[in-house]
Formats: sequence, C-alpha cells, structure tokens
Amino acid sequence: MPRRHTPGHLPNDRLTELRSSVRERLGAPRPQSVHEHTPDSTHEQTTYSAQKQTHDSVRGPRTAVVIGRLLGLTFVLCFATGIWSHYLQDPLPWMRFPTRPAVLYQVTQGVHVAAGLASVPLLLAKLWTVYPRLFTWPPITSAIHALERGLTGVLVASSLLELTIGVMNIYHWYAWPFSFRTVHYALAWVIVGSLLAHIAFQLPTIRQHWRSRPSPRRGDAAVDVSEVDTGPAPIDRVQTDHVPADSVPADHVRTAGSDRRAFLASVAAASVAVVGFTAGQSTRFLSAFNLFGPRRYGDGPQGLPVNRTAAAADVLTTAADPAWTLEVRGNGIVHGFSRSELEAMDQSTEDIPIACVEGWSTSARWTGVRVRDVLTRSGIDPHSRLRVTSLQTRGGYAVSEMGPEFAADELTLIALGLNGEPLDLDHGYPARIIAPGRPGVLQTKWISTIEVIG
Amino acid sequence: MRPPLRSRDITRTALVIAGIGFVAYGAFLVLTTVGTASIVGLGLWLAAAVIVHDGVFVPVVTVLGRILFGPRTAPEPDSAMTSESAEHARGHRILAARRRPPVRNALSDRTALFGHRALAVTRALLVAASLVSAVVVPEIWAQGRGAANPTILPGDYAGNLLVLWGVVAAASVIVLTIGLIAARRRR
Repeated sequence: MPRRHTPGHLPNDRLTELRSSVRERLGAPRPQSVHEHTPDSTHEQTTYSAQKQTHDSVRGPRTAVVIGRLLGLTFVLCFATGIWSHYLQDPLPWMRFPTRPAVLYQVTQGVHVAAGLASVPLLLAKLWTVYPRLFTWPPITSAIHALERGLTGVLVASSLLELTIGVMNIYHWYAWPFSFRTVHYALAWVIVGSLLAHIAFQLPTIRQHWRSRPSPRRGDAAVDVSEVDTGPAPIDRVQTDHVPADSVPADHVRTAGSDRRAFLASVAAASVAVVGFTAGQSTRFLSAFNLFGPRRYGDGPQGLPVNRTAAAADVLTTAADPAWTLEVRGNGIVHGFSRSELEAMDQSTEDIPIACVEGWSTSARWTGVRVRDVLTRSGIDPHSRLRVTSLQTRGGYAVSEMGPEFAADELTLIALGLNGEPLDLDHGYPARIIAPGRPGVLQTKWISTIEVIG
Repeated sequence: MRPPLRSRDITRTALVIAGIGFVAYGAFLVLTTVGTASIVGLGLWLAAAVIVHDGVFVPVVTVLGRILFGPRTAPEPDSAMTSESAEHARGHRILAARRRPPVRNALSDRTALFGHRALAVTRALLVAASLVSAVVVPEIWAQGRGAANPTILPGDYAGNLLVLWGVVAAASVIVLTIGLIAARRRR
C-alpha cells in the first residue's frame, strides 16, 4: 500500500505533499474526495492544511484567506455604500445628509456596483477553495459545530443570492418573485451577521494563514500545528521535527505554490477585468473600455441615459399639455407656476450627475430655477421637508421626499433645460428635480406638485 | 480544523453573538417587509442558488477542469523523466485512464508536452475568462429578452465576450507553443 511509504517526521504541509508525490510516482489512485474513509483519513480530516494538500494544491486555507480578505473588503464596501443608499431613499426622521460634493452618490453607488461585480469572481473562487469542506465527515461533531455550519450555510446561500439578484438588477432582469430592494437590503444584514460569525469561528485559521507560509523553522512548525490542530474531535498531534529544506523535492513545493499563485492571479485578473470593463458606464475616464457595462456614458437623448421613458411612465399627454402648472403647497396656500413663469425667474446652470442606484451615472449641465427660490416666492421656509409628486401614473418612484438640507441647497433645481436644450420629454419635461448627491430615483421627473410635509 | 469556540474566548464569542444578532435583524426585516408569498419565493431562490452552485456549477467545472488539465496536485515530472515513468505518474488521470496505446501517451500527457508553467498560465487565462463570462453571459441573456429603452444594455456584449475569448485563446496558443518548444529543448 502506498500509504506505508508515508514519511513520519515532516511538517504537515510537506508531509502531505511528499505523500501525494509518492503516490503519484507509484501510479496509485489518490483519494478522490474528502469524505472517503481510510484508516488514516481521520487524521487528514482533523488538519485542514493536510486535507487541502492531499487533494488540490489550490484548495486550502491560505488561498481561502487571501481570497476571503478581498471578498471581505468588497462586501464591506458594498454594505457601507448600500446602507448609505438605503437611508438616502428611506431616511429616519432625524437624518440629514451632506449635499457636497455633488458627485458623492455617483461615487458611493459606483463603488457599490463595482465592488459587487468584483465580488462575483471572488465569491466563486472562495467557494471553490472550500468546496470539499461541504462534505466534511462527520457532518456535525457538536452543537457549536452545528451552529457554525448552519451560519456558513446561511452566509453562502445569502451571498450567492445577493450577488445574483444584484447583477440581474443592473441588467433590468427582474425575474424574482419578491421586491428587489427589500430583499437586497435584508440579505445584506444577514450576510454581514453570518460573515462576522464566520470570521470569529475561523479566526485562528485566518491568523495562521494571514501571511504566506513562512520558511519552516523548527519552532514555527511545531507551534503552528499545535495551535491549529486542536479540533473538537480527538486529535492526533503531529510530531514535527525539523527537516532540512532540501530533503523535500523542491519542485513539488514550487509547483503547488505556483498553482496557487496562478489561481489567485486569475481570480484577481477576472475581478479587475469585470470592474475595468464596466466602470466606463459611470465615468468618462474609462468609457473607452466599457465592453460590458449595462449602460453607456453620455448615451441617450441629450447625452443622458434614461431609466423610465415618458411612454413607459404614461405621461405623453399630461407632460406635453401646455396648461401644465407646478403646484407648490405649504402653509395652507397653493401657488401655481406655469413653465413660462418658471422660465422668467432667475435661472441657474449647474453640472450635476444623474447617478442611478444601478451604478451607472452621467454628468449633465442642468438649467432651471432653484427650489429654494420657488419656496421663498411661495412664502415657504426653504429649510422644509418636501414631497414631490410626478405626473406619472405607471411605475414606481412617482413620489419622492426631500430633506431640508437638499431643499435649501443652491444646487437643487427645478430643471427646465438639459445640456443647453429644453428638457427632453424622456428626461422629465416640462420640469424635473435635480439635486446634488442623491440617487437618480429621487430626481423626480415630470413633476406636478411640491408640498411641504415638515 | 481549528480550536473549538470556548466560552472563555470572549472576543470570538462576542463576534459570533453580534453576528447572530445581525442575522436575526435581517430575518426580522424579511418577516416584516417581505410578504408571505414573497418569502416562499425568496426561500426557493435561496435554495436554488445553493443547489445550482454546489450541485451543478462546481461539479461541471471540476469535470471540465479534469478533462482539460487533470488534477491540480500533480507535481511536475522531472525533465529527465522518461515517457514511461511519466505514464506512471499520470496513470490516474482521467484521459490517461482510458488506456490509450503507449505510443499516444506522450500526447495525452500535457505536462510532459508543454511544461507545467505553460499549462498553469493557460489554465489561469481560461479561469479568468470563465469568471468574467459568469458576469457577462447573464447580461447577454437579459439583452436577448429585450430592454425597456435603447439606453439599457446598448452594447454588443456577445461580440465583446467573443473578442475576449479570442484574445485568451490566442494568448493560450502562444504560451503553449513557447512551452512546447522549451519542453522539447529540455529533452
């Protein structure tokens, strides 16, 4: 039996590498899966590093830690920017938001979608590296172990779904039987929680493999093993005596290491490519490389992409009606402004991006009346919370709310023109809201009323 | 395995409890903001995500990877190794296991033919392109379903993905050719 050839006094990684190379050279079949039971497989299962080295040089804790760190980073970016976007849309009563820089939401939501897209290769790679552990035998060894595996299952399922619906959402492919926003938001909390628990459970492994494998010295190797390999199951402590580096065939170690590095490089390249080939939808700087972005920077009527057209919102007749007036309600008084009355007021021209929750954005030059001027003209304190209602009768986001910090801002306009022309019907003619640092869904188009709600 | 979580490990225990708290909040959000019918749908989608990934995606990729490259643990054979010993070393590989005639063994042994490094680079290129495709293929599908207006999904995503694969294929051919020449020279 090839297993008898196992040398007895080597550090773990090398031991298993050597073991597998011996099997290799003898042409013996190697164990194909982790749950195979052989007399010494019990020992192999107690040591993660042994497990990985026996089956696949890429599947191991070091790879998992390297990819896990990157995935942790992208998940944190997604969560932070996602919370930001969530509260901009559904603020708690006491919340106030910065209105500068005007590109703030363009940046945060661009990062949200870019980090989410980068997470796809990272998550697939992360799950690939730990896949054999799905079949750990016995599946559960204790209540704590059951809790850990349960939370890992929750983490895996919710991460897979979160990224799936996130990616499908930016493609406007709404195939799911639930509300995207509520589920995407709720799953974010589930992911953050189960990820926190996952990190806590894995902390010793993470710490051990945070740096690449140090050169084996007598003390290190011994400490490593005893620190890590004390699982809930009875442990077969490996005696690790010092082995001179040249006693292990160097090319085997090198091959496993280079396989791992090649795998990490390919995953990193895929993440960079996915971001680099889509980020051009939110910045002119990268628009030449926009191979896969669901939107094109500066595309559409008047150089701006459209989410909901006038036809889709069913406003073709109401928005084109010459009798249109904007009603401004506050303090029990209603003021009406026709489009020509608005045009007769002080006009401002500002460069403010439209930044969609889907991550794309395009900067545009808007011309119109400051909201605060219209409020003052109507005898309303500009520092008021407003509700803006659209003419649209179909589709969501017909009503939006605006906090006082946006209402009083000099960049917040009732836009009448875009990039030097009267506003296109698809961009909200006769008038729309445009404010700095907010998601596009709040920049209500085809507005009909503005009312003070506090 | 790692040390089990013990109650005296305060940091880790606290993190786990905090984590469970966040998960519970997420579950609370689901229960209070997602309707009953939608919760059933959500459960099905969660289960489908895991089943498709763990039950279909990974096994298919595993089989494809083995067909193309063999298991990853295989060490590089010594350059001095004869084709006979190389056959031994590769005996377990899926393709080699088809008992091809000995004459063809050198051909079926990619590592001996191209060298480990060229194969590793090729595999890395294919893995990267496949991962990018995992994001782009659904986009092509969504585009095929039709978009609500011409500014949504305006690109030639299928064409661009083909170009990407063309570049990867060309780079792989170059790398493998270099590897082939280098391996011949070593012999």
